[in-house]
Amino acid sequence: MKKVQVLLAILGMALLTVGFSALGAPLKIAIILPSSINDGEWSQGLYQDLLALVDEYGEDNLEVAYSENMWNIADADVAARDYAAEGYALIIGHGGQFGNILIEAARDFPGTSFAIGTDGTPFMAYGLANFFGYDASADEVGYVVGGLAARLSESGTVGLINPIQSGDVAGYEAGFTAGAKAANPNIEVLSVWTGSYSDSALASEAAQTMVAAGADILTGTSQAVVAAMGVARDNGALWFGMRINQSYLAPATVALSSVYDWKVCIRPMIESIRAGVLGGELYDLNLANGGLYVEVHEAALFGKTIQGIIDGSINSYP
Amino acid sequence: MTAVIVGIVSSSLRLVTPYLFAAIGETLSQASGVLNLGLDGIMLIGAYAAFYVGITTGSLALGVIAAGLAGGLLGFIMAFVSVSMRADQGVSGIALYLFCLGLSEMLFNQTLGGVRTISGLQPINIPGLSKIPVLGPILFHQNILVYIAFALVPIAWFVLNKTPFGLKIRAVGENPHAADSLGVRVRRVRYQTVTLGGVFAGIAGASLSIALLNLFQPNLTNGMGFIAVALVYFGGWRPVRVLLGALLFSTVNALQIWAQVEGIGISPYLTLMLPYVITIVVLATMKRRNSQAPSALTKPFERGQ
Repeated sequence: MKKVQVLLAILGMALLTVGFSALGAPLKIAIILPSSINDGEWSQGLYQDLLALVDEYGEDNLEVAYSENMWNIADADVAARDYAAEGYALIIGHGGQFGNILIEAARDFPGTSFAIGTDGTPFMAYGLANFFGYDASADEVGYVVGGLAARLSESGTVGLINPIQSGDVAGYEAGFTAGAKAANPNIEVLSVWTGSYSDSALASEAAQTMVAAGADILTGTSQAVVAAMGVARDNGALWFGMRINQSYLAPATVALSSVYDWKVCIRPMIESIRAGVLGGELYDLNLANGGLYVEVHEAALFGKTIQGIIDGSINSYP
Repeated sequence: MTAVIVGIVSSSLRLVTPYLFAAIGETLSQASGVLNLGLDGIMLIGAYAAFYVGITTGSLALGVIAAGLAGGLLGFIMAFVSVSMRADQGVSGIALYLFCLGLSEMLFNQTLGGVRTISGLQPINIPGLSKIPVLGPILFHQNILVYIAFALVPIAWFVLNKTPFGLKIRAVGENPHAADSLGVRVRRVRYQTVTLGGVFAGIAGASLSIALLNLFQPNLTNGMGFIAVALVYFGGWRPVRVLLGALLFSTVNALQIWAQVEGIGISPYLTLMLPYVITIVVLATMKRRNSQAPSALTKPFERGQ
């Protein structure tokens, strides 16, 4: 008898999900973020892109809710299940650390779609029909900007400040190093792993140490790197931004940003759910599909030279 | 080689400052018998207060004062809960930490609206001394909070060991009933030390947000306050040993960053463990002589019990 009830409940939930979309009620998406929506990096990027999607689809068709600063995985678990119970159609855990709890939640709420990324690949192996994954081929964009860093560096030393060796972070580090070495085999690429996404003091100290070792271009991933960016600014080094356009944080220091366009993977999830397919796909952000691209910030890259020509301190026609 | 040593020592001095403020304050508090596990939360609020006041008024000095006041207020609350209400110190400290963690996140969202940066406290040269070759620029070219943090160590030692107030603190921490019978006002002394510990923890936060990192973001301290509590145990409740412990911890941390930058080929996960492994090894092998915890630590005081 219980089995029948459970089956009926599952069927009801599935019908409700499909029914709401069919009736034109807004599709509700909830995102679970490890840091704040204005962290200048990881969480801010996804949140901004979801707001852009709400603009794109219209408020009548798409609704977004978020839970930020979910340092504690147990809290994230409660939040995910609350969203599922409240009828959210898609619940995104933004960070591989939420993978296991969302797999369990996906089993308990088969009528709700769940998504995990980056590093969604290992979770696809569970073969759940209501689970999406997303990844970012950050090695590609890392290779591009690494090559540029090697050509731009006057000291011949550049530095990478990384949190934990996994997913797109590891890809960016590997790609950046390979790109730099390809452009200049003699370039020295310093790389530090802080072992934490949130240890700003260690990220800052890694940057200080790299500057002392001669690095004149720094880059890095995680929400803790804003502190490292400050070190670059205070020491006249350039910063290569990651994940969002970070220029607003230090306009004269951030020379370019490797931007993630999360819409490229969220949009097909929305379309898939609307078509009644609740999961099973792994999406990737890369250079080919426009999910990754480089934005150049002129102010930091050649602002000083332009200003020098304007004020006469540089003679451009000797 | 000299450059490497200079780099490691410089890093170590930068990293040690917040630990030193927080741990010296906690030493006073624990010497009187109160364990304040809310230290990390108080540091967070101090970091926020210093940053917010600094960025809105343009005065970093006011920021430091605000951090001290905010920390003192939270220390006073901790004292009220643990001394007057006689709540379990461990649980009330954790509650205070969680309260401050949430409060600082809310304040960040409501008043800063995103990660912003500030031009922090600048290094001050000590005339004469900063000119000493090699050591001068490392030791005597630091911001004011680094000097104050180091000055606190002998001051705390002097207060604890050479003044009547220090004697009262130790008496209250060792045997509050005996102290009480001799006319020492136990609760008053504990209120004073825990509030003072809060002031120092608040300034520890300021040393992060307006001197070391020059920004505020949620969970900026990342557990530093808990390490500061461990440093008090490490230092056997003696300010000079607390300083040595804090220096050891931050030097090994600076060393592991250097090891990675220099590319010595050891897995970063092994080097990242070093500061903690060394702390545990030292704690486990340290001679217990003369470094026993205050007997009344964590025990609420009630007259006539």
